[in-house]
Formats: sequence, structure tokens, C-alpha cells
Amino acid sequence: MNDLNKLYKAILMAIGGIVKPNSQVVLSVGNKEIDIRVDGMYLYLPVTEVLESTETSDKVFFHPGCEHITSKETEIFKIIRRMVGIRLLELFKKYPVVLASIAAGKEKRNWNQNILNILEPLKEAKKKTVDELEGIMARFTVEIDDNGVDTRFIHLKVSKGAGRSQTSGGGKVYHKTKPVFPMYSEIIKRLSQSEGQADNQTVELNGVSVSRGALKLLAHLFQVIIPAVTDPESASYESTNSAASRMISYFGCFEQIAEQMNRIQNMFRGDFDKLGIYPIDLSWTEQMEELPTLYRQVPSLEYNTHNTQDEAAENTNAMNGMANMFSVTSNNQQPAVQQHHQLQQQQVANGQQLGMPVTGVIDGFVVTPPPMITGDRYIRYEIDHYANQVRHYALNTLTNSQVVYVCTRAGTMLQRNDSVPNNQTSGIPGLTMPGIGMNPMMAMMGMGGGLTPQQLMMMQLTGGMMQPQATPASSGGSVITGNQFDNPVY
Amino acid sequence: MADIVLRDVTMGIGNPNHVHFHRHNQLNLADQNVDLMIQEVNRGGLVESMINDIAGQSGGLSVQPRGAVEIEDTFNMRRGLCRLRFSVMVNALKEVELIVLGYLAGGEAREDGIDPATRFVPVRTWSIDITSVNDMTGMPDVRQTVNNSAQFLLGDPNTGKKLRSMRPIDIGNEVLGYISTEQEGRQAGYVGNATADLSNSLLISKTQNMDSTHYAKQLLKIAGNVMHDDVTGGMGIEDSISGSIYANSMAEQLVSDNEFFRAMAVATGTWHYKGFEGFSLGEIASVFENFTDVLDDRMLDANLFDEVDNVAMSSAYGATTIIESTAKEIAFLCADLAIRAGLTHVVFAATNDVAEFGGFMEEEGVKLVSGEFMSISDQDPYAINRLERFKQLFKDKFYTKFNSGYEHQRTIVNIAVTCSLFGETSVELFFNGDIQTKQNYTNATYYICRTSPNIAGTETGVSDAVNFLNNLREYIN
Repeated sequence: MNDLNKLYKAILMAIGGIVKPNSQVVLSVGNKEIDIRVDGMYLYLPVTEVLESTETSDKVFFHPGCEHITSKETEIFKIIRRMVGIRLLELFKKYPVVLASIAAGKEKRNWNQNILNILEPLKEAKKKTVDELEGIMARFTVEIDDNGVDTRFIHLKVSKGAGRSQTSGGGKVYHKTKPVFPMYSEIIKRLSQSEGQADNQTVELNGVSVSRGALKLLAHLFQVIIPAVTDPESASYESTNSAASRMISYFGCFEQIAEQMNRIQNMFRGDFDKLGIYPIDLSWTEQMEELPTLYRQVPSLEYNTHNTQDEAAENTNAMNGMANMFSVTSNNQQPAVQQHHQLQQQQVANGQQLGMPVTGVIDGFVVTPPPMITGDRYIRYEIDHYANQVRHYALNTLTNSQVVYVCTRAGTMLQRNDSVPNNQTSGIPGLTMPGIGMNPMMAMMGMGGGLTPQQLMMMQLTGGMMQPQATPASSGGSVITGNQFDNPVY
Repeated sequence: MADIVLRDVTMGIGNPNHVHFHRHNQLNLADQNVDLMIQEVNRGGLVESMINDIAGQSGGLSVQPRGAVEIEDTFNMRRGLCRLRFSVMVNALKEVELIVLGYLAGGEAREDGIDPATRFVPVRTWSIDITSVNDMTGMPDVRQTVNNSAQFLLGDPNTGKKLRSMRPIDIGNEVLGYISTEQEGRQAGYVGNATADLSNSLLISKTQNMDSTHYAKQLLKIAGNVMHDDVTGGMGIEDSISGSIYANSMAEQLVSDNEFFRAMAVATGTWHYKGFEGFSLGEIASVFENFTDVLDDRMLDANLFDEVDNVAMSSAYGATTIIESTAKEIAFLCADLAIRAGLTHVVFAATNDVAEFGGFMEEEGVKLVSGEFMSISDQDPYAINRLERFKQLFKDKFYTKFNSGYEHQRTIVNIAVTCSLFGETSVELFFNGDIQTKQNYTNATYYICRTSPNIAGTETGVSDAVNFLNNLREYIN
């Protein structure tokens, strides 16, 4: 393993990652291992053995050091940011209980005033208040939540540098990282708003009622565990080398926060040891300054050099649970797909009220209705043994015409025909041949647009969001599928 | 329309190969070059020499392969090859020889000849101008010049994997589309430029695009224009990008510009290439009725040539190593330079290790020794001139990146190449003079329509380049 990979490995271990013997990087939370994926591909450490194997095509490598100076946050860095968030939050959550038990225990002779000050509020606090803290901290997150409420415990904010460095010798600043503590700020705000009220009064914190005493205690804990909350600027870090500049500034800041959190552990080393809580290993930090030369040991790799997604679209990645958070996608099709599934469920629910679709397999034909477009009301299905297809009839409530979903024997949807007016063919559905009901506009779309059925489906669901395709997005309203490509259109 | 006559149809046979992987052109701009560009832009604009300089240093292939290339049947087989040679009459003094190369797929074995259902999948095309000129003594002479050379880009024949073309013009279009949606605040829904979607069409890419330095240069040109217009506040970014991509140097041909395709389209009435899988030989024979008269399929006999098993004799692809991507880069570069110089076959070895050539150095600090070679035209008394041209081009295009004026700063690369314009190009190479690490890679040039570095195996290849231009614009502000 070369020096660069040794450094990467140490960093990953420090932020809660595990490098498996096959060099795959996974995240360890509690006793669970969570796979990290980018666009569905697993994350690996770029060690020579893996790079030289002939199976690198479907892997993503951890090589944040090669990030280009002009790049925005890369997919790999997004993972780093989330790992760091989780690591620091999980560690912070463990502190109150330990400190409370120390405070409740016997006072030691060698404790100085500083330590007494730290423990004083905990000693006074009731057990109920300490328990309440857990509930509050459980709602801390590492990402802004789905409703846009900032419930993050910590965020190391990287901004593009400007001007000369004040702290490190006057070089040009390329990136600067400064910690922000959204929840701490929120707590302080609530406390000052309820100034003068008794400790057992409840205060609302992001929509949840909590006691003022618990908030006060939590604010105290923030201040003693991470003193930087009161002066974030002191923990900020500027990088003055253009190579790997985001990474150097980010981990420079992380080092200072981690150091502060380690400090309080080391005051009560024995008590933390007993519970198996150990400090964050920071022995690698001195090697960070060699990174601008070390990073060349591995060539520049995709997902690490340039962001493949625009920042504007970044927040649309809904965070549903841990596994999702570590499955980063570079393009933003995933939310649309999820939306599609939701609609599908909704449609099935509607159908049950109206036309009662049958689910299951009859005569070897899957008769479960396909996902339907909003506005279609399910009527019935018909098995076409000759064409080996299943046709599902539905009513398009917008145009009051009949639509036919043609599916394969296995239940895969082939196409949706809606050009058959209700009054003409409702009695003889068997005559609707696949392909005949296709209007010329649809054929055009099939030719020029080249969209997959799913994309077309999404296009309708999202109201022509993908118009830059320069296809007549609003036309037809039908799903063109692959089998029509075989019929050349002249 | 000019008259087009089928002159000859020659068939041949390839060898088994390793599975090829998608690797696309990439611009790896060093940080100091960004600063250099900004400086130059502030002075009034990028000069050509600066663009060439930076492009020479920063163009390359993506080191990490992105997905195995899908092909009809498999790579590990002896593939039938086919060359169509046409004469296109322009006027009495000028005639154009048009060559279309392709491989064969489908069809069934028959004893009485070739199955008409066998498909001809186009791979490359070029045309040679044959002009009557008078030399300075007034004697008539014939000048033969390659006036146009292109490769076809095709999508995935099997699983319908979504491949995108990334010729410089596609990247420009992509950025342009992105910016216009951005101005409406809808960039989140921008799924890219539909014309670059290879599942939809057959595209033509200039042979030059296989040279990653050329690709880098084109991208830098766009970037330079954008940066300049941004700094001077002259035109909007849409204007500067569209201005750059429709400039002649970046423009690409249409498939219908090719006389062969035009003739086929006129005869069959098919002008679109959606889901195009090649023309069947029967189809070609129905358009060019003398097909069977000029057909020479003697060399399509597997017993006639011994099989060279490249699977056994060369390294497998799929690793993320500089040596593999460099070997691939050389193979593509040679396929471009050979046709540019007018050679169909060339064997050479080169090194920039001064110790290897006994202390004396040529001007470029590169020693290139050539072996056998073959000209593109049948009777060419000036083939040696073409070879010299090739040698010069190769030194300029390839070794610039590894060389420096100072010997201690260069990366030493030793290579031995056997390049066939339509066959297999085998590249042996090692770095730093360490012959123990020598590797041998074979690239089948007759699959270039599928393996081309202008095809992105994943969407990230394109978005990488688009974001580069976009970020660069924001970076200088």
C-alpha cells in the first residue's frame, strides 16, 4: 500500500469507515456495516492490487485528493461530508450520559476548577432532564431534512477562498472551511427568546416541545465539548495550495473539531474507556500537508476530479434512511423514479375502488395491471393468447376515451394506446392491435427523441420538465416503447 | 449528385481479441494551467500556441475503464472484415476514391458464398482526392491526398446500454443546452443533448477526434472563448459557445454527406439511422448491382491465415492503470495519424530514453525507428514521404506530454507498435526504462465504431466535461 492509500485509509477509519480486506470501503455505524455506493457502484480504496485487476470498470474509487481546483463538491466528497457528520454526531450523542454519571459519582481530588465547571450543571440536573437530552439529540441530523428544516448537528462549510490568508503566511486562499452548528444556534435562539422562564417550562424546538432546562443543559454541553460553537472562526481552516485544496481545508477544520471532542474524553479517560468510547484518531493529520504531492500516486479518477452533478440539483436527493444517504447518484433521476413508484401505488389504490384490478397469474399470464398514468381508471384485462399478450383496458378520465395498456405475458408493459375513442371500440376491444393506434406524432417521438418508456412516463408525470430534449413533450400522452423501433418509420 | 461506382469489395478476417472497455477522451487540466489561462485571458485572449501547449499536456484518455464494450456475438472470435471501394467522379480532372470499411455480423454459413443477410457494419470511411496536376516542368502528374477521414459512432447492439457520443461539438452543445435551461432555472431536468444519444442514431466523428490532444484543444478553445467573453463582458456565453462550436474546426459531417450512405438512402428510402445495425450485403448488392462481380472474398477463409490468438498473447483490459490507458491512447492515436499521413499499415518503435539511443538526441528528444509500412493508395511511389510525415506527427502528438526540455523531468516511455488501419494494433510499452514491467495490449481497430474514445460508456463522462466548462467559467469570476 502506498503512502497515499495509507493516508486515505487512516482518514476513512477516523471518520467511521472500514476498509475490508478486499479494499472495499464500508461505513460502520453501531455494529452494522453499510455499503457505500455511487451510481450503484461500490466504493473501493485505490490500492494497486485493485487498480490492476481487470475488474475496475464497475467500481468507484476513494481518491478525493485529485479534485480539480475548479470543481464543485464531487460525489465522493458528498460521501465524506456525510460520514464526517455521522461520526461527529454519533460521538457527541454518547457524551452526556458518561459525563452525567461522572458528575453523579464521587468528586476526585485532582479535579481542577475547569473540570468542576464542566460537571457542575450536570450534577444539578435531574435524571429526567438528562434522559430528555437523548430524545432531543435523536432528532439531530447530518443533512437538512426533507422539509427544508435545518436540524443538522454540525456542518463544515467549505467556501471558495478569496484574498490572502490571514493565518498561514499570506498565501492565496483556495478553500476555506468553517464549522456551523445549526442546532446549537437554534437552541441558543430558543433560550434567549424564553429568557426568564422557569426550567420546567416547555419551549418549542423545531416543532417539538422540550423543557427549557434540557435545552440549557444541552447548550452547556455543546460549549464544553466543542468550544468552537461560540467562536466558529477559530476552528476554520484555509488551504493555500491549489492541489487537493478542498480536502485539505475540510480536514483541517475537522481536525480541530475532533481535537476539541477528544480533549474532554481525555480528561476522563478511564470513564470513557470503560464504556468503550475512544478518541478520534488524528495521527494522520500531519501527513495532510504532503497530500499535494502524494495525490499523484494514483491517477485522477472519475467522481473524484469533477462534480458530475450540479449543486442546484443536489438538495433534491431525499434522504430516506442511512442506506440511501450513502448511495449517491450523480444524475437526478432517482427522485423522479421514486415519484413514479408513489404514483403507481396510488393508482393501484384507486383501481381497487373503481375497477378492482386482479393481481396474480392466470393461465401463465401475469394479469397484474401495469403502472398507470394519472387520470386513467382501470376497467378490466383481456388475455390475448394468440399475440401472447395481456391487454388492460382503462378509461382516460381526462378525454373520456378508452386506453389500452399492452403487456407481455410476463407483465412487462409494452405500450399504452389511447387514440381509440370510447364510443367506437368499447364493444370490441380485441380489435385494438398494438401499434395501430399509434398516431404519427408518437412515431415522431419514437424516432427523434429516443427516450426510454420510463423517461417518457416521467416526462408526463412531471409536466414536461424535460423539454430541452426538443421533442414534442406535450403531444400524445402515450408511452412509446422499444418494440416500435423495429418498425421503421419512413 | 456525383456518380458513384463500386470498384471493389474486399473481405478479410480478424483474430480473437480481449473484451474492450469504454475509455473516453478527457481533459486533465493542471491547476497551474488554469492560472496561466486566466492570466492570458486577462491580457486579451488565449493565443493558439498557449492552447496547443496546454492541450499537449492535458489531453488523455480516462484512466478508469467505464463498462465493457458490447458487440455482436463476442470479441473472442475471428471476425469477417469488409472494404468497399468506390469511385466518385467529380469532373474530368478530379476523381474521388471513397473507402468504407466495416465488419461483418450475422448471416449464416453457406457453401455457395456469402449469405445476403450478412450485415455490413460501417466502421470507418475516408476519401482520397486523385487530381491531375502538372509538375513544374509541365509534365502531367497525379496527386493523391486524403481529403477526409471519419469514423462512425454506433450505440450498443445488445442490451441497449445508453451510450453518448462526446465529440467536441457534442460537449459544446451539451453545455449550451445546459446553460439555456439554467437561465430558466430548470437545469435539474436537463437530460442532455438528444443528438448525442447513440441509441438513436449513427453519427460520424472526424478521425482527429480520436487524438485526445485534439479533443483537449477543442475544449480549451471553447473555454478560452467563454472566459474571454466573460472577462470582457462582450457577448453572452450562449453566443461565445455557439460561435465556437459552429466554427469549421469543430463541425462534424452528417451521415448523409457520405456518398455511399447517400446512395443507399436514396435507393432504399431510409434516411434515418435509428436502431441502425448495418446494411445487409443483399441490400448493398441491390443498390450496387455489380457487387457480386467485384467481390473478392477469398481472404475470408479462416484456413488461409493462421489465427493469431490475441487473447493468449496480450494483456486483458479492464484495469485502472496508466499503462493500460496509455496503450489505448497510442492505439487510437496511431489509427488517426496513419490515415492522416496516408498509411494503412506501419510498424515502429520509439523511445524518449536518451540512454537508449546512445547519448545523441534528435531535436525532439525522441527516437523513432520504423519498420515495414504500406501506403493508402495502390501504386504509390511516394510512400516514404508519408512515412516521414507519420513519424513527425507521432513525435509531436504523443511525446509532448511526456517530454520536457530537461531530461530529468521527463517520463520515459518505450513503445513498439504494429498498427493496422483495419486490423489489430498491438502496442508494447513500458515506463521508466523498466523492461520488466513491459505490457502488450492489442486493440482491434475494426471495432472503433464501438470502442471509440468519443463514446462515453456512462453519463458521467459527459457531465464531467460539461461541468468542467461550467465550473471554469465560474472559477474565474
